[in-house]
Amino acid sequence: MSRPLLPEPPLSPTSIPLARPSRVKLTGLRELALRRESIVLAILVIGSIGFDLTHPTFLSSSNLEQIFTNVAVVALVSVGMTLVIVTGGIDVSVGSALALCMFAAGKVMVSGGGLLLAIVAALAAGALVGVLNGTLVAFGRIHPIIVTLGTLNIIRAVHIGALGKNWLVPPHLAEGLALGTFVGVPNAWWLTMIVAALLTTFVVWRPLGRAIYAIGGNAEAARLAGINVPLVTVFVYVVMGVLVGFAAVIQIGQAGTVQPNAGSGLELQSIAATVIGGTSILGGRGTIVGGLLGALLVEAVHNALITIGTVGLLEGLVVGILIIIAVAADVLQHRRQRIV
Amino acid sequence: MLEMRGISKSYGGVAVLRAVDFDVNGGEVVALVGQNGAGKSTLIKVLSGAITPDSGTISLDGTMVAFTTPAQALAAGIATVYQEPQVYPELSVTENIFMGREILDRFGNIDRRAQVARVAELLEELGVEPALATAPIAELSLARRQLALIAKARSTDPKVMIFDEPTAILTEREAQWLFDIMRRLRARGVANIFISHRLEEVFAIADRVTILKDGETKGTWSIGDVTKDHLIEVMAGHALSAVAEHAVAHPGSPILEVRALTRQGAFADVSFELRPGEIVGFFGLVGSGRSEVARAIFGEEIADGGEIVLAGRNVKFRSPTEAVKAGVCYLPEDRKGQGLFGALPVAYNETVVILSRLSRFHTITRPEREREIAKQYARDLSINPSDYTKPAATLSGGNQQKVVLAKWLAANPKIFILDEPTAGVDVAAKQEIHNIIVRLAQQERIAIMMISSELHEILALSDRIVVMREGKITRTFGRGVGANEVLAAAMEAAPLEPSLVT
Repeated sequence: MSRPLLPEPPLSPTSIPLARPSRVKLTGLRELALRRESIVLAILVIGSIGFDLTHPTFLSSSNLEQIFTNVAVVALVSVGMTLVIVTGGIDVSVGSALALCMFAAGKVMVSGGGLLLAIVAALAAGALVGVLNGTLVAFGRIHPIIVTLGTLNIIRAVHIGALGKNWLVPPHLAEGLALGTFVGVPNAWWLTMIVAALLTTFVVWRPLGRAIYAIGGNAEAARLAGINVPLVTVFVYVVMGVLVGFAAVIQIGQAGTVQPNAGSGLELQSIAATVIGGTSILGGRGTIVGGLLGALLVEAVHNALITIGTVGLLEGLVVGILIIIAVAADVLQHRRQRIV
Repeated sequence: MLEMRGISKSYGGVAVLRAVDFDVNGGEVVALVGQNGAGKSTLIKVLSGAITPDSGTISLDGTMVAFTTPAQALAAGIATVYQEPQVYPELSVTENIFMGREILDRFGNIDRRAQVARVAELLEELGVEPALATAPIAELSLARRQLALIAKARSTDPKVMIFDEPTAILTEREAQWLFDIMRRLRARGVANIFISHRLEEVFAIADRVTILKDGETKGTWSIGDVTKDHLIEVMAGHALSAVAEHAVAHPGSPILEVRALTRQGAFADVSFELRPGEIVGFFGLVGSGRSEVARAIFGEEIADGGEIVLAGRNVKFRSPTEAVKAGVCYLPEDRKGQGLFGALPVAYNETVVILSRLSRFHTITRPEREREIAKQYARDLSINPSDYTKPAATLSGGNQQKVVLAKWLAANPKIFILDEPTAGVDVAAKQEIHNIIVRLAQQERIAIMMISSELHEILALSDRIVVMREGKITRTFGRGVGANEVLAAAMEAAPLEPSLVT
């Protein structure tokens, strides 16, 4: 392996003179996306400080705690959504999946199982949904939006059917995890950051993580390069499901009940966060940190509008504008770099 | 009727057409011939308004015209029957023909009856069953579909009809049918331009023939004043090559033996050998089955019969993954679609195949090795810019191709199949890639199977040349063969026996 592949440069009159690479560093994807991430971060910081000038409660420690607690569910799902969208797919079934995972965890709690068992149940339910979605996408060759639109409805029906007439009100086992703090930082945010850090390490250091980007960049070239495209695809949807499972445990702790319409709208929030965070809807580009920051920005906007007191109308407007600006910026950048 | 003067067109510094002159009169058929890449398609695109030339003039019936859209060309009376027609498969022949320019009744609704009547008339004129007017176009045979599209072109009552390789998908009898139609059009005073690779057809139907070569007009002859051999000679020309002649010192024993490989409908009875350090060029027209053979070796398609022997062992790869593991790599023709990860950094592109080798416990443990590899290829293949953190799509075509080459070289191939290795790259990069290919063979002792439609590339690089036509190997040549011999083997139905050529 250490043998030089092409020992001597040719003595050809037409060859372009050999260019010595000047100090280059392999930051690759990270550097590429950091640009978007820093923009989102800047908007977040400057916007928050600016808003705090007129509404001084915004950056109070209790409100910050509120934001970081509330963002956890959407952030966890957005991180998974980022991976799915990087492969060129999408998962609109996350809201229903969250409800089902909450039901699984709630049922375990109600029947006397501990928190750990409840978490396992939620993760298992999420993984199962992931296997179903991933298998249909990878082997059924059905477009992800159709597959997950189908499972969105099916899972919701299963959830409502299992729930019956009454809401599930489990004992408050997950409350500490969902609402408590550790060294002043909400536990839910700790969990989100740990998961995001693990996944970032994963996509940077693991060949499997690299394969996710390769598939999204060019599935056909990935296949010809020997990557097992269907298997990687299933894997990504399972990761998505497991993250929904984590989010479900947090949500159950925060909501205290499992309702028929739990998690509805989550798919749009997480896709919005992912796209705002710089993930290309065409696949191949996007980072975990981007998804995380996108979710934070969406949550901060939500919180700020609550502070003003006009959340209903304006939130849709602001988030909608952010999405369009994000996608337009992405398209412009692609055009400049000649990436179709 | 139609005169094109001094038409030039360049793409990113590569001249595709250089001051081309071409004309056609009403009531005649002019054949436009030339090798792949000679500029025929570009010339047709200029004429049909699909692209705008950099310079030159077009006059139609003595009036200067300039088209910026296909609709303008159509309105001026120039209709094209394309090689790969776009149809709406679920719609009827009539709906396809009138798409976008429907006949309306006085209420502004589509007058279906008038449309069907007009199409039936057109079909009848072409000698086709008028009843087909209402049939979904997907249900028609390829030949009838072709005729429906000719009817579509006719429906505008054009002065000039362009037939872009219409016979490529037709049987011989169907082609005769088409020629009857062209004769009828000629009798009605239409100016016909006929593009074909089959010289027999050119002599069967054309009144005059114009040869394009390397984007230049090489001459126009009346069909009675010229022979097939002369046309081939002009088309082949003198191959210009800056690649140094290289001799294979010790070819050694074959590393790959392909015996009687057959795949129904694609190729039949294909046998050849590849030796380490040898470049075997595969020449033929588009559709001659060369890429299909390559894909069968690479495990991308499964052959029905015959055998593939790799280093003494009988192999049958069921997927590209198996082929890559066994040391067979394939540089696909479609760089953007099948080779390059445009959004990913150059370095990632180059290590995607060998990432497991840089890893332990499924973790990339040697990121510095990845950097070394990227640096080494930037240097060895003169990839410019050398910054391997840039997305691969930001590089020029030639440098993108080097990145894809690097991706496969990293896997240490024993056999490297190159499918059109210099398609769409500029002249300087082409030269560099040629040098790289020669080096790979000579210094790395890789056995190279090079598919190319560029005769000059085949002649300059190949130690042996295999010519395919219609799924079969027609001839095999050694180094130093003449261009016209190779071209003749690719274009003519029966191989010429040297003793019969005077």
